[in-house]
Amino acid sequence: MSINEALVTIIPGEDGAAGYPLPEPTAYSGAASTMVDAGISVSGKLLGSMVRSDVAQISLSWNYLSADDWSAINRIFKDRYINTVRFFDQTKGGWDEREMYISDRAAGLWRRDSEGEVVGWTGCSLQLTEV
Amino acid sequence: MQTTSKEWKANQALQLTSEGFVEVSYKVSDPDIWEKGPAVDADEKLYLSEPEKLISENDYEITPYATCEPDLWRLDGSRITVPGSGGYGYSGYISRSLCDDTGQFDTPLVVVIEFDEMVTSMLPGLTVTWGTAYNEYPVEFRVKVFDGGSYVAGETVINNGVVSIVELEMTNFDRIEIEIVRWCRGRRRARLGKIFMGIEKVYTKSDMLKFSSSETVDPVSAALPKYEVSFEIDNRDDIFNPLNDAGLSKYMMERQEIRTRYGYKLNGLVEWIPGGVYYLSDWSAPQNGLSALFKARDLLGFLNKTYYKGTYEPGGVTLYTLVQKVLREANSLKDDPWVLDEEVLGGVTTTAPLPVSSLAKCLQLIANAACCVIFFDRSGRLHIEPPASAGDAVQVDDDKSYSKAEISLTDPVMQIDVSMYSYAEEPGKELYNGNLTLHPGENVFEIEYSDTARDVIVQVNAGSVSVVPAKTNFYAKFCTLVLDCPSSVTCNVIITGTVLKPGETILSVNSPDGTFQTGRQNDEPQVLKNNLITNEACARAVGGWVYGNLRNRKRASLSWRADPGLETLDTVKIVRSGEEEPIDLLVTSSELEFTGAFKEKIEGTVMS
Repeated sequence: MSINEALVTIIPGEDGAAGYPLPEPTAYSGAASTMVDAGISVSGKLLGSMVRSDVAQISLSWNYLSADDWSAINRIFKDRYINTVRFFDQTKGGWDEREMYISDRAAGLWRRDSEGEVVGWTGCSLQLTEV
Repeated sequence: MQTTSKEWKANQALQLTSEGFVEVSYKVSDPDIWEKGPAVDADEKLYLSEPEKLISENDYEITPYATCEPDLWRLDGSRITVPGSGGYGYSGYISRSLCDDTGQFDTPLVVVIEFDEMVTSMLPGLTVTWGTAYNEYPVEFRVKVFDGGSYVAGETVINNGVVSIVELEMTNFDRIEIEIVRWCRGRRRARLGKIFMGIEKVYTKSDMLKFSSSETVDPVSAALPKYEVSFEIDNRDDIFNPLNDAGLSKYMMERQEIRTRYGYKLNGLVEWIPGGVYYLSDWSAPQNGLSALFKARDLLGFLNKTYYKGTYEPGGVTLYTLVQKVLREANSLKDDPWVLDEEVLGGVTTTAPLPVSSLAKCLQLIANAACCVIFFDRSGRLHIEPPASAGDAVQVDDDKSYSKAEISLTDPVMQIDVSMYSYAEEPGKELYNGNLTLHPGENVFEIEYSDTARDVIVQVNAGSVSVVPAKTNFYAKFCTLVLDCPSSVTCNVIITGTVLKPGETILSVNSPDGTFQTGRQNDEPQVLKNNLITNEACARAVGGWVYGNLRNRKRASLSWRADPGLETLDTVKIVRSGEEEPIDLLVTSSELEFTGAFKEKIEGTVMS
């Protein structure tokens, strides 16, 4: 199997700027939500309307990333909460580009080297949700 | 009830409907521009052309004629043969000459809009609709704005659509020229369907943070109907910020037209129904907020001008004649956007002058005296006509409502006491006596009399002053007096006439047929006063009609997942679990809210 495209690429808004392909995650999961505006009817049934279907959310996690790699990922989102994201969409069964906002980025420190530098992070995770 | 497809109705039967939509179209323009007398003409027009209709407030549908051009004579039924006998459908402007193979016209075709008066208001631009029926448009055109012979502003547009929005700040002008330079297809005529003097902004649910609308209609025309819409638009770009010079704020003014429409996604496409036509009444863009709030209401909300041209008609005048006079006075109503029941309104007469009141109030009194309902349809047309018989009722059961129907009872009405007016005449009474200061030339005065009167005579006690009869008009309570004098002078004016002292006869009605049945309880009669009721037939008809409505004492209200096609004066059949008989509710008021789903609170009179 040859992998010539990153599973997830963050595409900045500036014209001509290159995308940021994220490192291949250890785990990748997708979710498609249907938003509804609904209440409960007098007879106790769901009553309302669909507001929007197929709202995508992807979750990525890495068992281990070097300090530089995890820092590079975090810097993408430092000033840009909403980005265009190219990702593999489970509904489409192919790559798609959508505007997505970033969740909290969380990771656990792996270890420091003998000079006190942080070597890497374990359990790095983030989520991207369609706006 | 708005007409909708089978798919729409099937969708409404679901517990969770498909995706719903709301759209607001906002026409940023000067609502009084029509008073400046705009007229359109064009070069090189084909005999089918009607350029004078290009800037009408009406939306004319283009008739897709097969004129003599390549590829227009396809045998697929999409084109219509031009009738040989005239009586052509609307075509807007079609040029006589054709462009060359590259789309270039030998000389640019010029469409000219000229105004009788200088337009001093500020317009944000023009919206030009080209050949929509043919999907054709110029790829290059110019807009030039003139003040007399002086060029004021202009824009060359490289175009790529059948609707062109030309954003161009225009003020202090009396002529606009649209020069069509190059067409999108070779060997074609230029086609122009509509010119709107302003720009139209369309806001979808993605742009709106809130949307709600309300309607109230009185089924016996005892009060004016009221239609209102309120919405909040995302203003993060500060487009509505009054401090933003590049924003729309400087172009905004009262009475700008707002149209709404509602839709559902059905089979992959959105089916739309009209929501209503409103006129901007209020807007705000808080400096600390992220949104701009807009409120708009129906046209009657702006007919506040006082009508003082009522006259006493001893021989009687029909309510149809009166309503036309009032509507003509309200000249903001263009192109007859009203529906009047001529037979019903023409069948009722009155001798009374219309009271000195707002134009809207006069219309309401006329509707009441004719036993008609006054309301707007969703295309913005004013209706004064008898209540329609109930059509197919929308069924609302416990599965479709968020709350059980609340039933309340109004006070019992056992009798209606209708006031019937007549007038005693006292000739030769003084109605006005005052000194007026005149300047050289014609002087116009609006004078209110001390009493309602007829056969009015003016006496001016100054030799050099003369009344201008052609411009002087006498009404029942007022006159427009035009005096001419060669030099400045103060003169005494005395107005005399036959005073009309109103008398009131009470006619009691306690039956829908307008009669009075003895032996019935009549503790607290309901009083009905309408100055236009001056004869017994009218009094009995109105009394019986109002009694028939008010004897339905049950009122009901409920909240439901709305079908936005429901309108006031529609009937809703409320089916309640555990109750055998459904309730037929005549909807008299509604409050619709869109939060992703359409939710509505409706109120009305229980008819069964």
